[in-house]
Amino acid sequence: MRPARHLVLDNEAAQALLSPARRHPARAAVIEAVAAANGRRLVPTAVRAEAGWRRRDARAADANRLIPDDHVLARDTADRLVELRRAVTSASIIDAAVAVAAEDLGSGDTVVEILTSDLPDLRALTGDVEGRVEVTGI
Amino acid sequence: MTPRTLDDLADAVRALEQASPPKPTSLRLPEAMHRATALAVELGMDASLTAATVHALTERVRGFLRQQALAEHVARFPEDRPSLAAVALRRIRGTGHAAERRPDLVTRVARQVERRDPRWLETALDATVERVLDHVELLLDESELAGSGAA
Repeated sequence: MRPARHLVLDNEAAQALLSPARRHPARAAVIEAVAAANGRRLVPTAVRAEAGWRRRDARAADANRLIPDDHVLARDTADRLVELRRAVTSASIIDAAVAVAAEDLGSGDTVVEILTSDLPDLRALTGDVEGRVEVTGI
Repeated sequence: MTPRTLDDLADAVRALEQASPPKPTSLRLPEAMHRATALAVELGMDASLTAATVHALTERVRGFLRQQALAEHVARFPEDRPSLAAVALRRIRGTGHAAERRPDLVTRVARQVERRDPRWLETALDATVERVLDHVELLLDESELAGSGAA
């Protein structure tokens, strides 16, 4: 049995997924990542807010099916997010929310792929995550 | 009754993450499956037969939603259709799998499989990716054996 591959979307990937354009290379990259992710597929709620992704909107139906799960900013999550931002001061709240989602998914030999346009900050934020984290540019 | 849609399924899958009360359900398992699962539970696979069933069904339902969602998406946006080679290579990226060092081999095998089964994404996404990787592993094993003179 090969290890599970999970996927976490950052803002640009979420925005790409919401695009109704006929041709959209960034959206195609997200679709390839979804097809490769045989584990969980998450979007942090902070990312959804930034990207304008409202689950109840009709235009979000396609994205809702492809990325069904939210990673919710709860009490402990928020505390961890603050810790991470203290450690990597250049990181935004959104970046830290993505890193915390990856932390929650990571374990053992699983791979967590993060699709982002902010490679340096996400790499710094996920340096200590258990399991393997792959930060991919979009 | 209103016809159920993928959107209903996506909502239901999202609700799997929230605690919900158990609903008694009668399942008629083949006796051999019941015995095998009960033994696996005794050996530590899951906490109970119920937990094992929930675990297996969760994976199956999530996998079905993903495949159907991708099928609908590429029907609407054909240019977003990924190649089998790209998906197989991405599946093993970062895992340390032996085939990571031979993307040429993965691509060659994936193209052959894709030619025979162009609708792999719609019909058997994960099984097809696994088939490609199994085949590549076999080729790598054979090549290793031939290289060591043991073949």
